[in-house]
Amino acid sequence: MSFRLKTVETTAQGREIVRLRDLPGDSLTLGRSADCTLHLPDLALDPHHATIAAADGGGIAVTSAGTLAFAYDGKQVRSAAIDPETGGELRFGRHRVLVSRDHDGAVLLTVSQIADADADVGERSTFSLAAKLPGKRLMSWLLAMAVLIGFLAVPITSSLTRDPSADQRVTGDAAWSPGPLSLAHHQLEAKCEACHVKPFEAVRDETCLTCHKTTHDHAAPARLASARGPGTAGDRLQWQIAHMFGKPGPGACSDCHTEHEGAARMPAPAQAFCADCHGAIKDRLPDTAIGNAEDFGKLHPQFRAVLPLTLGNEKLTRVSLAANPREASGLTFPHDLHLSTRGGAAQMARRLGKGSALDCASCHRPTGDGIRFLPINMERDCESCHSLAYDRVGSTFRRLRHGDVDQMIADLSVAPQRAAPVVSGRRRPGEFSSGGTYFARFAAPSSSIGAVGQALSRDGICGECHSPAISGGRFSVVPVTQVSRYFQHGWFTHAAHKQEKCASCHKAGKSGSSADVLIPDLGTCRTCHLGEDAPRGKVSSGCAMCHDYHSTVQAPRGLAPRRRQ
Amino acid sequence: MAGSPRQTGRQFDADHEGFLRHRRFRWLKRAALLCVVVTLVYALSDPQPRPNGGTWLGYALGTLGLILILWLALLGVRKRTMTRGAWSLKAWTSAHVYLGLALIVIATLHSGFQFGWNVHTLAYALMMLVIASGIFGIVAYATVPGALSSNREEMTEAQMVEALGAVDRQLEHAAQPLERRWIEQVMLALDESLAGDGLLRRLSARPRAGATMQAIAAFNSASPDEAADPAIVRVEALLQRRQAQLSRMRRHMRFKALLEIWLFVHVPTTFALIAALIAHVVSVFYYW
Amino acid sequence: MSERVRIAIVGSGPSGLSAAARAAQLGLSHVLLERATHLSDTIHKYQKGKHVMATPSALVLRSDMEFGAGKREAVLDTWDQQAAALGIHVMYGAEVQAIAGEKGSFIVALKNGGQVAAETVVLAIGTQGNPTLLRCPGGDMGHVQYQLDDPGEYVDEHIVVVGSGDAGIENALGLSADPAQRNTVTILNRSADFARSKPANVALLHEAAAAGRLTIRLETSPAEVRKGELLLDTRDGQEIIPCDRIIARMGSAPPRNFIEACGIAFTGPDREALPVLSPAFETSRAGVHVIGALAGYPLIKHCMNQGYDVVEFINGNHSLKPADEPILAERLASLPGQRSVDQWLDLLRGNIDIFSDVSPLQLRELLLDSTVRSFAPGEPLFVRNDTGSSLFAIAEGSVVVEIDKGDPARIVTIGQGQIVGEVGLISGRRRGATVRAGGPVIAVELSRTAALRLIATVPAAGRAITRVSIERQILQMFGSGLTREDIAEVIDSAEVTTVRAGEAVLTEGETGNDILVIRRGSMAVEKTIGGKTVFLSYLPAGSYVGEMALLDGLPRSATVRAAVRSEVIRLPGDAFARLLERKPDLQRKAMADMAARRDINAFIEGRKEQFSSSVDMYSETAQFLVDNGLGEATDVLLIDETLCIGCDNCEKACADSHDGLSRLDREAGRTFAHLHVPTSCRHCEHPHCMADCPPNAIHRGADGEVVIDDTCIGCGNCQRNCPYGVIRMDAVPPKKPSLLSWMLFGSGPGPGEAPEKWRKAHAASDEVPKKAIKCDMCSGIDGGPACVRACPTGAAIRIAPETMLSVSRLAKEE
Repeated sequence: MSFRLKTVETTAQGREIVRLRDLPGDSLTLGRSADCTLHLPDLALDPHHATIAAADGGGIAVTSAGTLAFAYDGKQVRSAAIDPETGGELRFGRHRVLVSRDHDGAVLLTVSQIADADADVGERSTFSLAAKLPGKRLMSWLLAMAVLIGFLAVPITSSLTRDPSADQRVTGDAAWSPGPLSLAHHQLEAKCEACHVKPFEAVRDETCLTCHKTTHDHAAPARLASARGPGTAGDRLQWQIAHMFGKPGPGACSDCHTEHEGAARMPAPAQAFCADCHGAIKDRLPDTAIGNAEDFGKLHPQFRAVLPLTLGNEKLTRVSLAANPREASGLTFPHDLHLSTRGGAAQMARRLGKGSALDCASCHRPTGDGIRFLPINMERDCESCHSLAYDRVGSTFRRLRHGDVDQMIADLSVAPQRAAPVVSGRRRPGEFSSGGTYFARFAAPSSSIGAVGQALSRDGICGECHSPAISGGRFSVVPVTQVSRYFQHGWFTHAAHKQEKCASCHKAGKSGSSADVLIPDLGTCRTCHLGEDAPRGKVSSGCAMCHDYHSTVQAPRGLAPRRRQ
Repeated sequence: MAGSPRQTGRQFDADHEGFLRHRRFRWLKRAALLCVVVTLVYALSDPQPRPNGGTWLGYALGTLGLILILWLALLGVRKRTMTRGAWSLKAWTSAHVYLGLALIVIATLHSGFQFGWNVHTLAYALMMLVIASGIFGIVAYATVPGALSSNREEMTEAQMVEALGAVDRQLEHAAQPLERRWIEQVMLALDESLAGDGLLRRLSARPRAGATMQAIAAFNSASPDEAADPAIVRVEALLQRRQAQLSRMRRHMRFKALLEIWLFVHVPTTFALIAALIAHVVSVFYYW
Repeated sequence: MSERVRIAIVGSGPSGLSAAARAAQLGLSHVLLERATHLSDTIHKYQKGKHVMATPSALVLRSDMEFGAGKREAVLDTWDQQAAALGIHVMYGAEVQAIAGEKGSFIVALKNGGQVAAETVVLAIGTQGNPTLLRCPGGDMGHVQYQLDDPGEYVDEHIVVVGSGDAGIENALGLSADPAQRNTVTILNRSADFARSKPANVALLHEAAAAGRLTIRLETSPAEVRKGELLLDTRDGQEIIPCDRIIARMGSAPPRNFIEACGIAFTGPDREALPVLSPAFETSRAGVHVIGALAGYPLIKHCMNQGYDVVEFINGNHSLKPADEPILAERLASLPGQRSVDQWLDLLRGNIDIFSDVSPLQLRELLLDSTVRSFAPGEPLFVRNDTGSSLFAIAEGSVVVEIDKGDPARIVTIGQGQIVGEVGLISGRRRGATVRAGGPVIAVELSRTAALRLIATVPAAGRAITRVSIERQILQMFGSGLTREDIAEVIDSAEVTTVRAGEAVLTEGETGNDILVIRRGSMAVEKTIGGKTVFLSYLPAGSYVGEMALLDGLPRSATVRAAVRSEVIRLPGDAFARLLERKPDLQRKAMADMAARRDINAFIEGRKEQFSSSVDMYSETAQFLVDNGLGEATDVLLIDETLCIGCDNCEKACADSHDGLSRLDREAGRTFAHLHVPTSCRHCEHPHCMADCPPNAIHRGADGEVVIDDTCIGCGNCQRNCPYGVIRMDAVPPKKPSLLSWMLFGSGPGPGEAPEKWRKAHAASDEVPKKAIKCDMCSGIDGGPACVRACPTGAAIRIAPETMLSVSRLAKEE
């Protein structure tokens, strides 16, 4: 039996080169060394790697000569018997030997090479990083998609598909919030849809008003508009653009109250917002009563207090302090006299154990919140000195009733006359009667009417403080008007001024008449308070400190913190 | 007349400047001016209640920044569309670099230093990442090319690969007569290829002791009479050549990697940034 | 010896075949003698599947054989079939040895001993000639072959390639390319080096030898061919090597010797010279006709038409108008005065001196590559600084040359019959002056190729042009009111010499006062200082040197050597000195020039000390650039590798702005001091590629760019001729998907040239012909060269050498 060797090689052009060679003898050697019959230049082989010999029965026997094995039909073996009829595949290193029988009975060994695995090293791409890193395009898509889905698709779909009635939340819109909400709105955190009701629609005033029901307008919108004036070219441009994007305003809530500025108190709108209108309000609203104001320190009209101007007329009129108004309270009360450290008042104070002299607090009592003062009360604040007793029965005094003229008249009219007692057994020269003693009453006759007139007279017990008056043909006094809050539109609290003496603002000590208005004026306040950007040492006072945009009886928002302290 | 103007046009290119100093730093100057102006405006205008994207300046800067970013991103298109007309990619790159840097100022002022865990700050962060990678790129572009050129010594990449292949074939051939223990070394050496090198290895500068090195070491430790064997000598010489070629290619790879790596951050992040910008803008108007 | 035939046609190429077909059609007795064993051997030798072009498309085909562009196989098949159909009588294996007898009774002797008797003989043997045979014992054995169609088909053979030309080297490389073929290839070279072949090829050869793929045997030649082995004559004695196959590529003897042996006169001694022919293609030997490539018509269509014509003529049909008649008529139609083509031809030959002894046939041929135009008075023929290498011959009227660009008033008139524009033709540089029509003018504009062929084929015309050109060049150069009379003396004694690249025309320190005018090529001026050679400046054609020595009588102050193969006009110093005396303002001009050069010398002298520095660096760089062909470049792409990031955007841009094929290879090419000269066209002054372009498809464009237009037939001559290997043959790749779709979805190969794999996969049809492509400097693309525009870092620059190669630049920079 003879062997026939068939080598198959493929050229670079893909052309197959087949070489047939008959090998004499019935055994052949295979290996790396050139003197093997079957020379395979393969470093993985031994110089003499294996022997292929004809075995009896037409089969062949393959045995490795050295220690190294070879693969027979995929198995690593060191010897194998193959029947060419059925054939088999041997593998030596990178070479494959197919065993089969040729038509003329010779054993055909077809040798072919296995292509190298890393043939692609030849490509230029080896040098570029593209081989080693995920492609830029892929990464770009992934990242971009991730961002778009996570931050756009999810929130939008959920906000579009949510059912507002059953108050569903919009998921994933937290990432949209440019910053935390102010404390006031804190509970709205993660509830964006509460304010941002409709997509692509700026927050509307109505939305704010759903909660802030009581808040009312600063003035009629028309007046607001004209007060605001046209604004500068820049402003107009800004507003045009803003309106293009459907922003509400000017004058919308969100103009002054900006949100997402951090989890603090919502800061009071700056005075600039007020000054926009009030800076030149006189020109824009000629009929307005108020003067231009843009900065407390620089431009602010004189205060206007509410005062009773005519006696007996309880109506209060708002009048500028600049006009040195007189207050017709209906009382006669010289502060200087009472506050002086000498004289009767001081005496009386000492006797009553109220210290060396009277002070403001002796009569003026602060309200519970310490903001204002209670009205003066005769019984509490005056009577200890100014007694209304008129009779004494035993150890008790009878007092006139304060605040009720008729009762007073009645009391006085039935007051007992102080009649002289009957004189008895008195001797007197001259013959009168046996013994010569007389019994008789010698006082002058008197009437109760006189007493009332006397009481109401200028230096009567009432006239001392009140101005007498005749009403309905009867004796009376002018009714007293006490003002509890002089400034209706500005806010002032004594609580915040505790550290100050009363006298530093109220010139009571020099006031000889109760008609003097002792309310401090603009100048007085400016000694400490200047505008928003006050210099050091002065109190910076924006509009919001005393005024409120949405006017309430409450203190303005600007003061709230002090209130909380 | 026909020739002359275009002729002079070509001559102009002869005294050339790199993209950084293009036209005597024209774009550096413009970008700087832009930054100064923007900063001044920011400093002088005092928006109520505080500066941020919501003020008029904020919107203005935002728009400016957005337009800039989109335009800068267009460099990728410009580079690849060979339209006619007298544009120069160098000028574009120059502008890209300097205006890109200017974005740092513009965007930061746009944010009004208001940051948080939200899509808006995400966009800002992405932008900063893009710019940072860009700066790396500028440095690489400014420093690496010289080394790249001197390292390759007029060899093209194809030639390098081919040269290695040639050495390998000769090794295969020369090693045939050797004993197994040598051959194992050679085979290991032959298996060492560049394709295996991962990212970090490509970027690292220190030479790597690969199979070829070890093989060389083994051959160096050959006994004197072995060392006398011409086959051994030849193989060792070939191994040395292989090593030399390998390390040249490794250096080449490294330089290429340095020149490319940043783009793998720059480009994808840019697209993430654009996406984030869309989200940023849309969300702002969606919750308007 | 068979009976006499009417026509014996030698060579069965397109022309011969067409002639035979005509003869067969006319029923003339004829025989077609073919050396090979098949028809039209030349085309047969084209590589398999090569696309054969049919240009010029304008030309009507007039032949009994069909011919249209198509695959080599298709063309050959049609011809075989038609030849059979027409009953052409072919005699294969019949190589003609000699032609005896005279008109009416020729005896054509064949190599195989046979004889053919014929009344007339038509030689259509083309210009291929016969391969030089192996002249040694056994040289005629079967396994000696003279060409190699498919290197892949030989396996397990000992193959010896004889011959060291490019053909031989390429064959040897092809045979040894794939180790799987297990060929033992040896290449024999009689001489000690491969001087005749392209450096690139030689490099590849040595590489292959180093890799052990083949053996190079220098100074070795075959002594005797035996079965299975070859006896060699080596430098040290004889040697026997095993050899199963010998491939002899020892060039081919041009057929001229044979033709002349047949007693046919040529127009001149030059290589390009052609046989003298009558309008009926009859040679100086009555009864013997020459047609086809040998008659100066390289294109297949021309040849086939001539085949037709010649037979018609022989058949006595003299009224036959050549097939190019319509073309010429159409070209001449626009001219004033209705003249027939023949009248025009006569007029031109009569009026124009250089055409005086040109045959009508040659003139027709010239006119095919030329245009005859009429110019209105004042209309410019060409303008200063135009690029143009064409030659104008004035047929009627006269033209004025504005010699001074300062004021157009200063003019020189050139009369009827004269030529203008020759400087551009000779030097390949831009026009030096504006030329306008003095009155109504009719002028012939000869394309460069046409003009060169004229110079080569009509010696008289050549001489005339040369003299005029020298004269004009000198007038133009020195200007300053010189007249032809003034310089007549100088011109008479002037001599034109050709200088090899690197050869010195002036040597520093030597004495001599000749003035040298660079006629073509360019020179490098260098000076030796402290043992170092400093590159002073670069002189383009049209400048002159040597005036310093003449004026100050000192020895030469610098060495001037040719940067490329150049031509210089040597003007004897004494004559020139006399001229200077006569012309004071010329003297002043010369003085001025000298002063300028003195400054540069002074500058260099000043730099002597710190010579490790800039100047040194500079002159090395300059030298490097000159070595890389900038010497003959007009515009070259350089890459500053301190800026180049290797993004290959230049290549991509190039490919994308030129139907998908890049015309430059950034990586390849030489580098010096980070200055890289990539493989891309330098647009040489005298483009080597233009040398031999059958359809004359290579032109110089308006910006001086050298472009290949789409009449290219893909013959590959230009590729072979380019010493810088910047021309490639390739087929236009299939259309790529839009850029957007690539950027978004990565569809298609992306920007730049598509990789082979992709192109194969998406090829529309395999019929796309390969054409020669090279840099065209983006002519017609406004914005200029894409490679420069598309460079992101500004590394890529295009420069004209003058701007770079002058040390004065350096002086400015300081």
